[in-house]
Formats: sequence, structure tokens, C-alpha cells
Amino acid sequence: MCTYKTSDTVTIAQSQKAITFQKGEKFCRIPLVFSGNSPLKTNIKSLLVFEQVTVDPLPEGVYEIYLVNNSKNEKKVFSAKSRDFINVLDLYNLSDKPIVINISNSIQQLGLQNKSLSELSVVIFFNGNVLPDKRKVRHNSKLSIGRIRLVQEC
Amino acid sequence: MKRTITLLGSILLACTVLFSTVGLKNKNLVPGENEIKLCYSSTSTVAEKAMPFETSVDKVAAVMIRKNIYSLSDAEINSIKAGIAAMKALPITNQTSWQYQAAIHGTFTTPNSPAWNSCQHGTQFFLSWHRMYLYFFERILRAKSGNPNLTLPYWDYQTNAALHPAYRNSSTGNTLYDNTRNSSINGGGSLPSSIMVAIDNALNNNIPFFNFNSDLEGPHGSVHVSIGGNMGVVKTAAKDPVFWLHHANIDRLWEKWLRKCGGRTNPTSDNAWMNTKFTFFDENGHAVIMTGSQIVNTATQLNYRYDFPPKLPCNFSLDISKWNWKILKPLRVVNTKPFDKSRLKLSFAKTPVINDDFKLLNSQKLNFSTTGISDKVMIEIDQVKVSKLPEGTIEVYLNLPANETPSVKSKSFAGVLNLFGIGEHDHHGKETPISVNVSSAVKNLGLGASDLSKAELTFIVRGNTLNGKEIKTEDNIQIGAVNFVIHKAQAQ
Repeated sequence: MCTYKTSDTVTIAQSQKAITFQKGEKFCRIPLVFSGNSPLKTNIKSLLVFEQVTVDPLPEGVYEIYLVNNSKNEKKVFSAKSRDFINVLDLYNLSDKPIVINISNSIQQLGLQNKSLSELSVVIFFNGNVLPDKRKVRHNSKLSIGRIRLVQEC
Repeated sequence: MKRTITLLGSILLACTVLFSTVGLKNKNLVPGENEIKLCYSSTSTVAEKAMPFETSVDKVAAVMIRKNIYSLSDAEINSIKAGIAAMKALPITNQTSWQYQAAIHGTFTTPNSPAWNSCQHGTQFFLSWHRMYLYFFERILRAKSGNPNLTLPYWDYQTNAALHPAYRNSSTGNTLYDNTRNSSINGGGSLPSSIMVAIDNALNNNIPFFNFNSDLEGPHGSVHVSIGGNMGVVKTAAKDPVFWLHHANIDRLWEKWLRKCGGRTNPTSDNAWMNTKFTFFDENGHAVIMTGSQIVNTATQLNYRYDFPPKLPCNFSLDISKWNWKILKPLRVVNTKPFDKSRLKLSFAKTPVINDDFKLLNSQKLNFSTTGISDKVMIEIDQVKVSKLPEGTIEVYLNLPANETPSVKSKSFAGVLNLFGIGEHDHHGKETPISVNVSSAVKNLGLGASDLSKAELTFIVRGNTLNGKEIKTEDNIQIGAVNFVIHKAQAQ
């Protein structure tokens, strides 16, 4: 979705293990572990990189991506109107290349400081299409992600 | 002929090769190990035979207007159906056939023919390539339909997230129907509302064009996947007639972004964006080469525009970092009344709330500049509760005369409420206020800041238009309070 080149970016935080978001599950919370090698800056381009993404079958709805900076947040329902919402995961163009989302605005809005990175999580929330009777289509896909990294321009 | 096609197919060049000939300075796609190489563009052989595009806009003829699918008449929809039927009747070897045109975007069919699989995704050409693609497709569809006034309609899912019924009708022979779509969509269901929020974020948060170009691509892709079937996959997406509704809307959103001004401009100083060549086919099946420089202004270069209301041009360029806004909330009116016959009137004169900002009101001079940063007058609507959303929208009028029939053409028309998201996760009331920029109405009515203390707001539920007529719609909406908010522009 936007410029991403390994040599021009530095990893600030990343997930620690492969992620599987099973069908039937409503959301998936993935803690990001702060590398400590480089401080988070709020005034430069920040990207969330989803590597080795596969999905089967394509979902009847969207995967919403949230950046939550409180690991004790027990919220189970997420709203795209909230500050935590970043974007939807674009699976239309799925290939072996990473999916990259620009989170520069979110980093600024959330007011993230280095100390809060230890509590940073990515939440993937499935939001199904809305049926005429207002019920939502359930999550019936398997989404796998090898790793999520928060990177910034060098 | 067969030999020619084989020859052309065998020498297809990756689009990156084509890019290299024009000196790529890509803002979104950096050549290297992480480059997304999805696209394969036209061959040099095709390029040699193709004619450069020359705008043929008739300066006398009216600019054609692309309209909301929900505002089309039966006759207009039938024209589209007829055009698609004529295209589908042609063999895939015909460049104006439905299958050939779809394959320009993407196809699993082999071998490749000229211009096939040339779609642009994950590149700086996402918006521009699709504008060109739609332009030539529209010309073909118009010619095949026999209706010289045909234009591509758009699907504004931000105001109606359900697919138009004409595209969901499974009757035999309905060329708008595609049975591969998700059953929720063909059954009259709606797209998830988060897509609409992501679109708004892209429109509002991104000023450099290439940021907008890439941030809009995410929700765009989610529309594809949520519809599913052919639409959900790049190589089959353009087989579904919904593709053209969807991309006309993406093209319209580009215009909407430009109309927000504030420094939003097309990247006309970017050499690669302006001059990279792409090949398409016109209604006569002739190959035509087009560049970004030829699609910057749709009205003057391509003879179409969208059905936006008239607006002053952005004839200024601003360094926004040199400005800030002082926010005043001088007026608030609390409401306990429900809508009566789909209408609600609120007066600020009856219930003034005195606060420090109110004391400053009379000394404020509103400056609605067209050459610099302008003041803004907003209304903030609090505690909105909806137990039944209308099948339409809610129009807001400022000081609507008692004897005037409300119309968006009225001087008093101030805007529409964005009820999107209400009821999604919160059935008890919207967490954040709904804001409507009413500056145009304040300006058109010649109101000063002090006049706002006597202002009246009228909210009117307006049903969607079907076959040229407004539908009747039920609603149950309550508004708790309304604030006037003045954004005073100040140089830092």
C-alpha cells in the first residue's frame, strides 16, 4: 500500500510468533515486543508490515486493524470510529509480498511514547458484511500471518 | 492475425521495464527486493502501432456527468444492460469485447494479448491507470449501447452500502448480475462500515497525493473482497459489472479529495506519473496510448465530471503549518423533541447558553476567504440516538424560510448528517458528536457571527431516490443537543 524498503526502515517493535486467526474467532490480539534498538519517533513515516499473509477462503467482510497501547485493555468489541482504528487489511492484492499500512497518523493520534511500547498490541477484528436483517456474516476464514513489524524510516 | 497475436504475446515486457524508460521516481514503489510486480504492461510493438491519445472534447457540448447509480432512471440502467450485452456477445479476440476489456485489468487466460494484465495496484499509478481504463471502457459501452448520453454510474457505498437492486436481480438475461458474489451482497446486505471510515481517513488525513493514492487502496481492496467472487480477485474482478460502479466511485473520491483543497493537488511535477505511457483500446478497437498528463482534469480533457454541487476552485496554495485555528463554542441548544413528520426545527434564540465564548461572539468577524485559509462555522450534534436509520439521509438547513420548499439548491442548505457508524457498535447513542460544516450556508445567507445567536436549524429526512422519485422512508432519530462551533483561522 505504501513505500516499504527494508534497507530504508528500522524495526521498532514486532510480534514474536506466527499468528493464526481461526474461523469462528471474532478478534485476535497480537502483542508487539519493543526491540529497544531505536527510539520511536512521532514525526516520521511509520508503517505496519504484515509478512507472509495467507487467507483461506477470502472473508465475507473485512479485517479491521487496530493499534492498542494498553495490554490490559480487555475490550472485545472494536469500532472503526475509535482512535485505535488504523485501516482495513487489503487482501484483494494478496501476493507473497508484505502488506504495508501507513500508521504515521495513528502514531501521532495515540501519542505513543517509548515507555508505552511495551504495552503495544495489534488487534485484528473481523467485521462481516451486514445482512438485510442486520445480522453480520460470521468469521469463516483462516487468516495466517508470519510476523507483524512496526517500522519507521531511518 | 494469429501469428501477430502470438508474437505480441511472446514479447510482453514487465511494467518495470517500461517504467525504467521514463525515469521512475516512484513515491510508493521502490524498485528492489520488495517491489510489487503484479502488472505487465503493453509491448513496444503495440506501443508502436498505437496512436497517442488526443483529447476530442467538444468545447460547445456540455460536459457529461457521471451520476449515482441510485439516481438513474430505468431507461438509463437499461442502456447499460444493453451495452454490456453487446460487449458480451463479442469474442474475446475483439478488443471491445467484455472479456477482452476485463482481461486488460487481469486474467488467468493465456497466452496474453496486448494490454492484458496491465492493472496497477500497489503503485503510484493506482488512481491514474484506473481513470484511463474507465474512460475507454465508458466510450466502448456508450457506443455498444447506442445511447450517446450514457455515462458510467458510481456506487457511493458511504451513503448506501447495499448494492443497487438492478445488480442483484438474478433474472435470466440480466447482464448486471454476477452469481459469484457473496450471498450477503447479492441478497441485499451491506458492506462493513469500517470501509467507509477508512475512506474518510484517507480523504481527510492525506495531503500529498501519493499518500492518498496508497491509503485509499486499502479500503478499495476491501470493497472488492467483501463483494467476493470474481470481484475478490485481481485477475477476475473486471468481469463483474460491479467493478465499474466501484471504480467510478474510487475515481469520484479522487475528485472529492481534490475538492477539499488545503494543498491537495495532483502530482503534476512528478515526471513518471505524468509521462508513463499506458495502452488501451477505443470504441473502434484502435490502440491508444495515454499518459497521466492527459487525465489531470476530467472535464476539460476527458469531457466528464461527477455530480458534485458547484464549488469555487482551489485557486490558492497554502502553507498550512503557518496557521492554526482558535476554536469557539459560543452557542448550544438542548433538544428534547423527536422528529415530527421527518422534520425537526431547533432555534438558538430560545435557549441561549451564556459562556465565555458567547461573550466573544459579537466581536468576531467571520472571514470566508477564497484566497487564503478560511474561517469555518460548524455545527456539532451531540447525543444522537437512532433506533431506525432512514433509507436516505438527513439534510440540514440554516434559517430555512417558512414558505420555501427545502432543496439542496437552496441558499439555506448547509449539508447532510453522516449517520454512518451509528448503531454499528453503539445502539445507545453516538460517542462522538456529528459535525457538519455549515460555512457555505452562513456565507450564502450573508450572516455574521452575531447572527448565529438567532439562527434556526432545520433537519429533514430525505429518502433515497429511485427511478427519479424520492422513496418514503421511516426513521426514529433523536438529537440531544447542537453546538455552533467557530474555527477562527489565525496566522502563527
